[in-house]
Order: sequence, then structure tokens, then C-alpha cells
Amino acid sequence: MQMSEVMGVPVVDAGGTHLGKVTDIRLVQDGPYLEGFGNALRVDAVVVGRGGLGSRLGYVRGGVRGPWLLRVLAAVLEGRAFLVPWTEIHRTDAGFTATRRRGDLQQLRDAVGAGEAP
Amino acid sequence: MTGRRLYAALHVLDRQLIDRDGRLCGKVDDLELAETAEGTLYVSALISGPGALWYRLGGRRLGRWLREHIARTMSGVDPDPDRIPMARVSDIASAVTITLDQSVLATSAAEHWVRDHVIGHIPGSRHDADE
Repeated sequence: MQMSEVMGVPVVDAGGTHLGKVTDIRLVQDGPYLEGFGNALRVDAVVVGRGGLGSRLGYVRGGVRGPWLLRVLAAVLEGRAFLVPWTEIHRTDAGFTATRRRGDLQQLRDAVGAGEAP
Repeated sequence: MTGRRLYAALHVLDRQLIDRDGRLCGKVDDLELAETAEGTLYVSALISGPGALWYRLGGRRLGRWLREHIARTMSGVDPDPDRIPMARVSDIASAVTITLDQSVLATSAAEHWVRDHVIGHIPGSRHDADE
């Protein structure tokens, strides 16, 4: 599988509500040790949202500060995105289904606000 | 969860690839993901080279056409994108450093083909620019 096959896949919650599309994948370097690189990068969660470009500008996750107008707009778009653990994703013919409902999912801005390094 | 965290699209895709001698050798166009029997996904390789970017951006037909066109017209050039195993990646920062040599990558193969078959036939192209 390639990352491009995961990006853009539509995601619905446990109740069938459309959440958006996969706009990014969070990787955690805690996998098996690879000589020369270190621990392998594990797919930990997918970022699901409606803003394609806005979610990649780095205003929430990348520490980008300005210009302020873009920062406000992009932060709103990106902050609304959800972070869905990969272990809570089921693959279907129509895309991905999260095992939780929308209200129980963590928003990306909360994950970053909880101390995640940008 | 204690390991370093990265967002693939934000921190890895489109980053500059640098070979073991510090030479630029393409960009990260895609990631290969391998799944274990338990269902855990790991990044197994970086993908870079002809057609891979178009394929990622949704132009799958265009990506395939580009690979086929390269295979047809550029003899000796591998039309498939490079698969760089993670064990050959030494660092992911503002650029991605690999332990391979630029010359073995498909991106530089196309560049070499253009040098040998196009640039090399232009009169005066066989000497340095500052001579």
C-alpha cells in the first residue's frame, strides 16, 4: 500500500456521518529498530478534515505564525479536523469508518494543545 | 506513545532528498506502507521518481503514461519510481538524507539521459561554463 492510497479517502463516523477526507497521517517513531535509521515510523492516526490545502499549511501543527489573516483562516480550517487512531479505522468499499461517533473523536487542535510538539 | 511524532504530508512528502555525498537527488513523492499480521502499518520505503508525484496527486493515468513514455523513449532509463528502503534513510529534517548514491536513482537517470542525448549534441556543450 502507498500513502497516496490512504490520502483523500472519505471517512464516516460510527453513525454514518461524513467527517471529511484523510488529509494527513500521523507517524510515531516507535516501531521495530532499523539499522541506519532508528525505530521504524508507525502509522498512528489519520487526520480527517475538509480543508485540503489549509490543513497542510502548518498553522496548527507546524508552528507557522504569519501572516496573521492566513493564520486565523488556516487555523480554523485545520483545527476543525479530527485525529482518528488507525486502530479505530475500518476499511470498507466506500472508504474508512471510524469506530467512534463524531462527538467522541479528538480534534486536531486539542491534540496539539495537549502538548504535541508541532 | 513516546517516539518522535511526524505528520507525513507536512513533514515528509515533497522534502528534498540528499544523497550520501550531499547531492540533491529528487523529492519524496510518496511513502510505501507495509502492514504486519497484527494490522499495524509501518513506513517501509520512500517513493521518488518518474510518475510518482502525478500518481499521488490523483493523475494516475498521467503517472502511468509518463512511466510508459520514459520506457519507450529513454532507452536505459528505468521508468519505475525509486523505492528507497527506510534502512537507507539516515535523517528526516528539513531535507531527507539517504545513504545511497545519487547515480543509482531513477531521477538522476533521466537527467543523465537528457545530458547524453540532448545537451551533449549542442555545439559547445562539452566544456565548462567558465572556460
